[in-house]
Amino acid sequence: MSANIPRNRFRLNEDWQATILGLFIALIIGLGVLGPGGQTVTTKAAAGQTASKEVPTGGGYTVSGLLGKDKLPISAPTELNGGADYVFTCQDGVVTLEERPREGGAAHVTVANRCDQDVQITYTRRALIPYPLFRVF
Amino acid sequence: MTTANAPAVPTPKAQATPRANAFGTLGGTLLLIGLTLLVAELDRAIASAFRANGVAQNPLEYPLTAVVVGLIVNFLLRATRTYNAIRPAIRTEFYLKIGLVLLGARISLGDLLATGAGGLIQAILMVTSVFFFTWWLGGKLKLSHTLRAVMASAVSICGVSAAIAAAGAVQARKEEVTYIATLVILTALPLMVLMPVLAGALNLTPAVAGAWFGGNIDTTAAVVGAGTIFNPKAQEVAAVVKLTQNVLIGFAAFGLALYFATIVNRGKDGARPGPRLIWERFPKFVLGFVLVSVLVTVEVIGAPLAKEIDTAGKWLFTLAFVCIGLDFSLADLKQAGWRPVVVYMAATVFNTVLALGLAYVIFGVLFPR
Repeated sequence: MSANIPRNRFRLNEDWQATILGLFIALIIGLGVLGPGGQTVTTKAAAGQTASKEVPTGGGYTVSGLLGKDKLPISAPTELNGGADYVFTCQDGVVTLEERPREGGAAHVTVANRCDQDVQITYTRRALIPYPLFRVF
Repeated sequence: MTTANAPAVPTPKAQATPRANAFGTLGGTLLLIGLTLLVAELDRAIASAFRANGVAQNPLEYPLTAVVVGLIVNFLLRATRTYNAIRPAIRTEFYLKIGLVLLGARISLGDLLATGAGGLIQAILMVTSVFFFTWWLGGKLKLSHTLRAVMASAVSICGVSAAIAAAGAVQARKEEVTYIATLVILTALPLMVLMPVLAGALNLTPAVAGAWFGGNIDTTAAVVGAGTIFNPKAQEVAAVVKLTQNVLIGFAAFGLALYFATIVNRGKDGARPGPRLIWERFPKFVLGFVLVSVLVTVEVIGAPLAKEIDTAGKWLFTLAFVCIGLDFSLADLKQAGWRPVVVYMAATVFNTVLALGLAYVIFGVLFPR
C-alpha cells in the first residue's frame, strides 16, 4: 500500500496519536483536572473504630462532618497533599485533626473514633468541568 | 508476483476533497458521539428492564448494544446514500487504541507481568501455528501470495491492524486489505457473542476464558467485547493476551517483508527490509497502556481516579463497537469468490480449537490465576 502523503509533510501515525491522546485523557482525569462529575469521598468509622480512605489530591474541597446524625463543626485543610494522612480523632464529642506523613503518592483521610456514636468526614469537590453522563455504564 | 485466482475486487471510489473530508469527519464525529450516548441510555434502560424482571445482571452487555446500534445506522446511512459522507469519522482502531491505553489504569504492573508472561508463550505458539496453517491452506486453494500473507497475519495476530501491517510489508493491494477487514468483522461479531456463552457452558475460569477470547478472536475490539460480556477479570486477561499478540505484528511484518524481498520478488526492484521495520510496525499504544499501568501502580494516579479513567476507557470502547457496526459491509465479499472465505473460516476453526487448548494449559495449569 502506498500513502498519498507528501514525504516532507510530518504526520504522526495513528498509534502515536492514540497513545498521546490516551495518556492525555489519563493524566487530566488522573490528576483531577477534568472530573467525571463531582468527587465525594466519605470516611465513616463506627464508635471505637478507625477507618481510612484514599482521597484524590488537590484543592477546592469542602469538608463536612457528622457525629451520629448531628453536624460536626470541622476546621480542616481544603487542599490535600500527596503522601499525607489527615487523621481526624473524635474524643468526647470534639474532633481534632493531625496531618501525618505516609508512604505513597496519594492522600488519605483517616477517622479514629473514640466517641460513642458513628463519625463521618466527607470531602467534596466539584470537577472543573462536570460531566454527569460519565457514570451511565 | 503470482496472482492466481486473485479475487475480483471493487473499483476504488473517487477520492473525496479535503474539505468534504473535514465536514465528514466533523459530522461523523458528532453522529458517533450521539450514538454512543444513545447506547449508554439503551444500556441503562435494558439493565433496568432486566432488574424489573428479577435479573440482576444485564446479559446484553453494552458492546453488543453498541454493535447493533452501529449496524442499524449503517443500514440507514447506506439506504439514504449518506454513508460515504461520514466515512472519515469511522475509525474503529483509533478509538480502540485510546481505550486500550486507558485500560492500563485497571491492571497493576504485577498483574500485567504475570498475565503477559503466559500471554507471550500463548501468543508465540498461536501466531506461528495459525499463520503457517492459513498460509499452507491458502496455497492449497491457490490464493495469491499477497492475499495469503495478509489473511494469515490477520487471522493469526490481530485482525485489521495486522492485515494493514502485512499489506505494507508485502505490497498487497488496498482492496485485499478491505476484503480481509470485512472477513475479520464478519467472523469476529458472532464470536464476540458466542464465545462467552460457550465459555460459560464449558465452565471456564475467567482467566482461561479471557485467554481463549484473546487468543482466538481476530479483532481486538471484539476480544474486549467478549471479555466484557463474560466477566471483568476475563476482559483484563483477554486484553493483555491480545496486546501481547499485537506486539508480534512487527516481527511478522519484518519476516514477511524479508520473505517477499528474497523469495517471492527475487530479482525485482525493492530494498531489503531492515530490523527497523520491527519498530515501525510495533503497536506504540502498548507503551501507553504500560505507562498508565505504571502510573497507577506507583500511585501517581490514585485508586479512585484510576476507576474513573477506566470508565473513560469504556466510552472509547463504545465508540469502537459502534464503529464496528458502521464499518460492516457484505458488498466486498460477494465479489471475492468462495476460496478466500473457505480458507478464512477453516483458519478460524483451527484458531478456536488451538486457542482453547493452549488457554487451558497455560492459564489453567501452568499459570493458574
